[in-house]
Amino acid sequence: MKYAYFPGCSAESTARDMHQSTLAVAQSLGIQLVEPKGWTCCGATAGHQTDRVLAVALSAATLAKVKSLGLDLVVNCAACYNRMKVANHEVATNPQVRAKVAEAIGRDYEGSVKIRHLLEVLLEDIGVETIAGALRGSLAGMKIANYYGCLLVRPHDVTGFDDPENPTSLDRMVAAIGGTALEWPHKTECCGSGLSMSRTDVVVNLTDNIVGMAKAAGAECIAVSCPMCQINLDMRQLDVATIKGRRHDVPVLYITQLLGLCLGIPAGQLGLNKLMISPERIVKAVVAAA
Amino acid sequence: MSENGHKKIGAVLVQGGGIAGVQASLDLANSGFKVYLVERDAAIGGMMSHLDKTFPTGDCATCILSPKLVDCARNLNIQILTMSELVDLQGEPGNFKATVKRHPRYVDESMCNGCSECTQVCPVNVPDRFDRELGKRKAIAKHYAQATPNLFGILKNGHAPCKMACPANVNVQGYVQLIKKKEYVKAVNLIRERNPLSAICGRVCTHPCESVCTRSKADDAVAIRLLKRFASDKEMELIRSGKLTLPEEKEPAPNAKKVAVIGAGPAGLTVANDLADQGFAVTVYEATSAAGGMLRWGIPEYRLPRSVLDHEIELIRRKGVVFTYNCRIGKDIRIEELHKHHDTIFIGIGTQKGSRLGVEGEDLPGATQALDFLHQAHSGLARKIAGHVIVVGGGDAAMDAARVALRLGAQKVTILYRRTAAEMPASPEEVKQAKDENIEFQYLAAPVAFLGNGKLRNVRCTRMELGEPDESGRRRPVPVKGSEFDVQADMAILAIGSVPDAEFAKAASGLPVNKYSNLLIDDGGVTSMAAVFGGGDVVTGPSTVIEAVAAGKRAAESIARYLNGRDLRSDRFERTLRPMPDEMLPEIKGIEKKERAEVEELAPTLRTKNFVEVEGGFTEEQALAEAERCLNCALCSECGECVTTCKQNAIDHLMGEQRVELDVGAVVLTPGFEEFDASRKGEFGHGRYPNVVTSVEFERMLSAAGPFEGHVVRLSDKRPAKRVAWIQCVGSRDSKCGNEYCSSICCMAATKQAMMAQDHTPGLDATIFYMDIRAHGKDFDQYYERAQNQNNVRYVKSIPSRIVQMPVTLDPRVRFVDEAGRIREQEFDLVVLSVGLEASPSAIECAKKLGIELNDYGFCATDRAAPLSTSRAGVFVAGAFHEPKDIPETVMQASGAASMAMELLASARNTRTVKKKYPDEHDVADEEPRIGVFICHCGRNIGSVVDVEGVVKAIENQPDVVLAIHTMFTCSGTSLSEIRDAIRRHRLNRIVVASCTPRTHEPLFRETMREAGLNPFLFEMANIRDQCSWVHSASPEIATRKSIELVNMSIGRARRLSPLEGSTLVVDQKGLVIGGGLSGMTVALSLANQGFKVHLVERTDRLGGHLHDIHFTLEAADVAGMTADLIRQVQGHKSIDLYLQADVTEVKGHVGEFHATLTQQGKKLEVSAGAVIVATGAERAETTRFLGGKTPNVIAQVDLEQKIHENKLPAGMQNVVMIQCAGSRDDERPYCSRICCSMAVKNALAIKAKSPDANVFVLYRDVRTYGFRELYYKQAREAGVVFIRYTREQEPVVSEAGGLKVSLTSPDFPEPLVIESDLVVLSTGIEADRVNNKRVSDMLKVPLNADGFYVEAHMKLRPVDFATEGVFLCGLAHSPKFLDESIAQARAAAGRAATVLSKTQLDVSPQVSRVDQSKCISCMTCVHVCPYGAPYCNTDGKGQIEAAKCMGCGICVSECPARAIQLNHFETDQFRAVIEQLFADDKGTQTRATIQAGVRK
Repeated sequence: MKYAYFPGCSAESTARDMHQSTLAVAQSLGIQLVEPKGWTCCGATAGHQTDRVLAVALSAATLAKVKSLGLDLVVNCAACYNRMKVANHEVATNPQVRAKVAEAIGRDYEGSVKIRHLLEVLLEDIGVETIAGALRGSLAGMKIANYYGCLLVRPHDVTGFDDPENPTSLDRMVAAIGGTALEWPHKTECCGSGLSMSRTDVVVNLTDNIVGMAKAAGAECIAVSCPMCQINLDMRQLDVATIKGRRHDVPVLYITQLLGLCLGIPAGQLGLNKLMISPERIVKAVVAAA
Repeated sequence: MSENGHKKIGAVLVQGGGIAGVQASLDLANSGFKVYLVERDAAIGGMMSHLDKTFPTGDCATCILSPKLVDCARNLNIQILTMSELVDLQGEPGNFKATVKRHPRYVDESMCNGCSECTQVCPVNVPDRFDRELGKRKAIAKHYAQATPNLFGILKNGHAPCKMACPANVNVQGYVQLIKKKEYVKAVNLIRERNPLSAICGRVCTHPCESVCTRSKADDAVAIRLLKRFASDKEMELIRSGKLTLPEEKEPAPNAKKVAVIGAGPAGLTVANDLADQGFAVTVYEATSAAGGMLRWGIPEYRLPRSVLDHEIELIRRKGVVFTYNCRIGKDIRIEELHKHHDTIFIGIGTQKGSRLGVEGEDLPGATQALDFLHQAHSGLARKIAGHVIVVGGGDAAMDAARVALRLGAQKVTILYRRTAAEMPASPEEVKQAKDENIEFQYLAAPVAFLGNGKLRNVRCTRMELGEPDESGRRRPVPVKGSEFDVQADMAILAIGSVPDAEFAKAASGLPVNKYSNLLIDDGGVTSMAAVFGGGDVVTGPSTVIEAVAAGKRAAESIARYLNGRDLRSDRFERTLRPMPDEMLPEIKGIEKKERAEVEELAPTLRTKNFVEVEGGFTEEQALAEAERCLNCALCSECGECVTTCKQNAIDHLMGEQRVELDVGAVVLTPGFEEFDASRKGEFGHGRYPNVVTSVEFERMLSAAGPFEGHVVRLSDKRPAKRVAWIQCVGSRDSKCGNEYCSSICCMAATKQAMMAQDHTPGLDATIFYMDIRAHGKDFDQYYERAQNQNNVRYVKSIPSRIVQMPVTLDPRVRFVDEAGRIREQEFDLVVLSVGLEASPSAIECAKKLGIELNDYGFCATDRAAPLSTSRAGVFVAGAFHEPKDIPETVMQASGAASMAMELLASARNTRTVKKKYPDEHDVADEEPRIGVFICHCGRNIGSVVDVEGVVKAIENQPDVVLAIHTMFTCSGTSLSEIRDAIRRHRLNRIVVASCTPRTHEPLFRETMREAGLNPFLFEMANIRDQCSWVHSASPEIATRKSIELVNMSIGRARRLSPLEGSTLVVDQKGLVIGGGLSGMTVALSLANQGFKVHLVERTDRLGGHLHDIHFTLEAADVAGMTADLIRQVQGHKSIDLYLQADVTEVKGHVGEFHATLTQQGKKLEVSAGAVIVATGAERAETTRFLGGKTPNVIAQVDLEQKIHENKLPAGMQNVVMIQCAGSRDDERPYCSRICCSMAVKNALAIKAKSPDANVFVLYRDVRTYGFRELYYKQAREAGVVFIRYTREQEPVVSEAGGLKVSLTSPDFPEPLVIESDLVVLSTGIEADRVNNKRVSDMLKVPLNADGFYVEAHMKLRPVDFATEGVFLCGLAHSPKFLDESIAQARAAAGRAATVLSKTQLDVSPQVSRVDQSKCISCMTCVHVCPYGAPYCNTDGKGQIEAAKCMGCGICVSECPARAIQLNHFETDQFRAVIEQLFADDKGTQTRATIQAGVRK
């Protein structure tokens, strides 16, 4: 199976682990990912706060390039995914935006590229049975709190992904690799990542709240699919410990990292050394089940 | 005559049996119309029957509803059509033809007596929709405990996938349920109805049923085959132990038609079994020495013990089947012989010849056919074998041959199969067992030659690969070139298929066969040869046992039809099958996973050298647990338990849908509403979080008859819920879910639920999250205040954004913004979502079929000026389908819609109704009592606890008892005619029935007495079911003793009973209407249009009242036009006598016969009427607060409307401030005036329309724009009208110094506000005319409430009646309301009055109080205590009771200090007799001492 793949900027910096694990998992499952030449920023964070049309144009520029590849576009970063979806939605429903975007990027783009989140591709195109067949290890019943954050499933009219109130795609994936997906209340709570730098106080509270709840629910690990959620929930646990005096110590892993471990990919190829909270226990548990 | 000259029909169809439909039906039937009450559910009662209590009265909803339902059921002129829907309406107003579709109840309504025995034996538990699936019900049950009609019904969803997948369509679900009930023999018998080889198939069936089992989607399929085996084994065990005897041997009748069955395999056995059952003489001709066919000669004993096979063959033999063994047709008997001696022949010879590979060496010694090999092995002829055995093939025969070879001594067995494991047709169980026995499997290999010199030495094989799919859909194996290899083999067994014996076809010349000698038949087993039928492997080639059985069933049915001369094709069994649509299958999402039970197998080491059965059976414990796993997909399992239990033979599982055509003159639509599906608001997690329930679920929880018996518990752990929250507006006032309207009832319902929950659980902490509290009904605000101030219900003005569920505790955590604007989170034990009202999809569908216009939300489209008329003439609407509304308004509309139909059909009144005629009553005055006592078993209801015969014995010698007998069901038709006969034969003059409750059954028995010529008051009933067998079910002796005492007491009372004669009074068929406003005019016109004469009395000099002040409405109705039209109609109506500037000053008399004095400009006039309607209206309230009346720019809303209408708003007006509740909801007037919020919205919108730049501020406490008026509130906000909340504690202040200003502190604003105002508008509300109301209430002896409004007989269910019969109420005199509500209520008053005026005579009940004039001490206590004004002081100065007004409540009897009053039929000496009897000794004598001793005890 062949897809266009948009890594996004963070994939080359703060979320290299996400990028690495995505590529490793794709390779292991026989998914061919083609990076469109000359892709640009999706317009997340600063972009869409500055200018709505600019943000759409940034995504549309990449999407127009993907269109010529004739492939569906796979995105793993939830923020990129959301921006791409918004761009598609905007140009498709708002002719004025479409015209301005055409002017900005020098070509008309009408919103026809099919944008898929990696999870969607794994669950729908590859299928849990195929994945189960390819496993070399298992989470062996490990309790996982799946954290969807805000951007993957909302606004539902735009992303159309999963159930916005009770998403289950990560849960299904975790179940497929032998984990126990916890029923916990903060699946879709905002982690405040957008304010991570400007209002660290808010973010520390939110992180404390989310990670604390995961821990209370019995989580051994938090699974995420968004680089902002990951970095925030992982890194800010250190601040929670210093500011609030509470050590949660719950590792926060990308679902691709968990899947990669179960597919028998060595931890080193999954960027697991990048995590702030050590995933050592998880890695050991998976290996033990192999 | 109707418009087109057709005669009008005096019958009305009412669609929907909720409280609206019930009320409309009662009003219509009681005023001379035939009613068809059409209800979708199995019982009438609608949503009200689901409710626990009502607000604000706190009545038990069922208790106040039930009497109305019972009235409906008893009314001769109401025909209740349950499980029915109106599907078509043709014709014109006055003359319609309605088509009603009736869904099957599967219980004959005329036979069912409601005894409930069927429910007790039904094994199927399914979620109860009535209890919103919080509890379970049986597949056969009553709709709810108090269901009317009192009938049982069966829930069916068609037939379960398992039954449909079974080739023989065995009722799998049915026998699994019987196993669950430990009814093993019944289970086997049910299996044998479709498959005589139950024990056999319990072992060897390929169970296609299990592969479609719905349970397999959740975890694993139910182990159906093993359950079948378990039940069959149980049967054999019972026979072995002598607890069950084999059935007697039967013989066919000498003249029975004769059938020859050729072949004793499963197909032949099935045919023999079925035809012997039907009395035919069957002879089975079998070529071998024993019956069974492949079952005996193919299947090895370790899979099917021969004892099992023999058992089932023996059962068939005992039915009279003759077996002739060792008889090969064509050889031992010629087929022509058979034809000569039999009427028909069935051919089921199977396939005997093994298929050949057609390769070299196939006939070498050592190479053999599996069938031959197995036959020899099973007949004990096989020699010991040794060495390596190769078996070729992948079917069950190959597995059997391989495993038998092993058991006969082979050292090694290898199976060669040319495809892969995935394509192998053998059953997975067999493959697994073969592998366990170390049999080797070589896939993708096939023999190409058998090599050896005079004896097999080697098998030459080739490798295969899979090519393109062949016709079977499997990929075709293709040899791989040059891949041959040799395998050493001592024996090779070919198991690659088999074909019928070609010799047979040759012997029977002309038999239709194909080139493989397969017999050709049609789908009923019929061949083209006369009188010859066939089925089984001979037709299909080698197949499964169950397929052969199915073929046998089909052929047997054809043969029986053929022999009985019936059509072979019509209405065959297959026609009764109704597969279930997938969407009806049970939801598997929430199913708790349960492991499938596993059985033990003999260890391979213990089994490979013998033929002992390998697979074990279930233990009983396992079987019961396994049966419990069945999901009952089809709901009813058709196990037949109810059929055998029902002594009335009322159950008919084959009942079908019916269509009924009805001639009706009008239709009233009262289909009600459906609650909003809370899971659509995903943020609240309903359906995901166990402790989040809907308000309807909560009502069922509160209900004592509900699944939790009234305990307020958390669903997750059933612990008492102490912290409960309500979230309002779930699915209402919410454009996101499409419901922009307000559902009107939820605020009060939540308030009531909170108070009731506190009642159930003292100390319960209740929180209600709301947007506006809409307590706009009569006395509602006082109720709300009580909840807030006395019950400490916490009201939080905030709609929570989401609920999450806490881990471990499963507490719902609610997130909301508090009044200070902070985000808060709070955990509760239970959250109740106040779900809104939606138009029900079925009502929408019905309306579409009828061509009725709907509004944007699917409710019936109506005009505010004609609220009860739909878009189709002659079709009226009432209740929640018109607009969400509460019970009183629903009831009002129902009576109103009834009056609309009455107007339309006035000329046809009394043309379709019936009145029952009874024989003349037998005079018993001079007779000694001759008492007949009938004691009921009520099936097992009473009989299983109380020794009914013993009770008869104990009481039969009581003095005056002439006859004492017991009956199975005293209320059944036969028993009732027995009672009638006994009355005549034994000259009985008193009847005592000891059975169930008089509440449901007394009228029936009284009716029976009247039919036999006895006065109905000579009847007495003892309730030995509720009071004995039910409450003392654990102590039969006590129950019996108490029954004897109760019956004796009844006998004692019966002795003293005397006949009572009711009187009649002539009705003066005129109406007197007091008040000429909108309501008064509407009542007058409605009655006049029905043909009644009306006196309309108006105090002022013009008709119309406050209508003249209304210039426009929210919906832009033409009020002025309507007013003028109404006045014109009233003035011009020949039946209306109009009295302007007149007052009613005195009213005497009673229902049917009132005499009133009118005073008109000093003149006195006398008028008479049969009914009086109070429509005296109310007044606009005034206030001096907020500078009201003190400055010209502070005006009332009414004045504002006038100014807008006249275009007299101040020019250049900038700011208009409206102050709501300026004179309502305060200490002076604690009620809500209901209309002011909408009026403010209306006027604000009008200002915005005229002066878009003007700012309009509405200062409010709660915006109460209920129902569809909410849309205008939204419109106003969109138009820029600013709504600012204030609280009662901090009211706005209006000041004039330095210009008109309004200052206020709003809880929603951080800073105090000051608004400079050009105009301040006060919503002053409505108040009662206390002086006039007091005068009228004294005159009519009807009560007023604290606010000066009149008090109706019952706030919920009698909203237009007064307690005093014949006097009715409507309009503002009742409470503040809108124009459309006044119209509806006025029409209701007309409808209710018509129930009196339509009769020429009224029956006065004889069950009334009477005063013994000689004992009366003239204290007039009775006059004071009577709520109905029945007693009066007569000309002798003594108390006397007006029978027409007396309701028989008995209050006067108990209050009379002189004991001068007796209530007929409840007289002191009758009760004394009852008590005396209680303390009488066995001989019926007693002493005062024993009585006193008893009393002291």
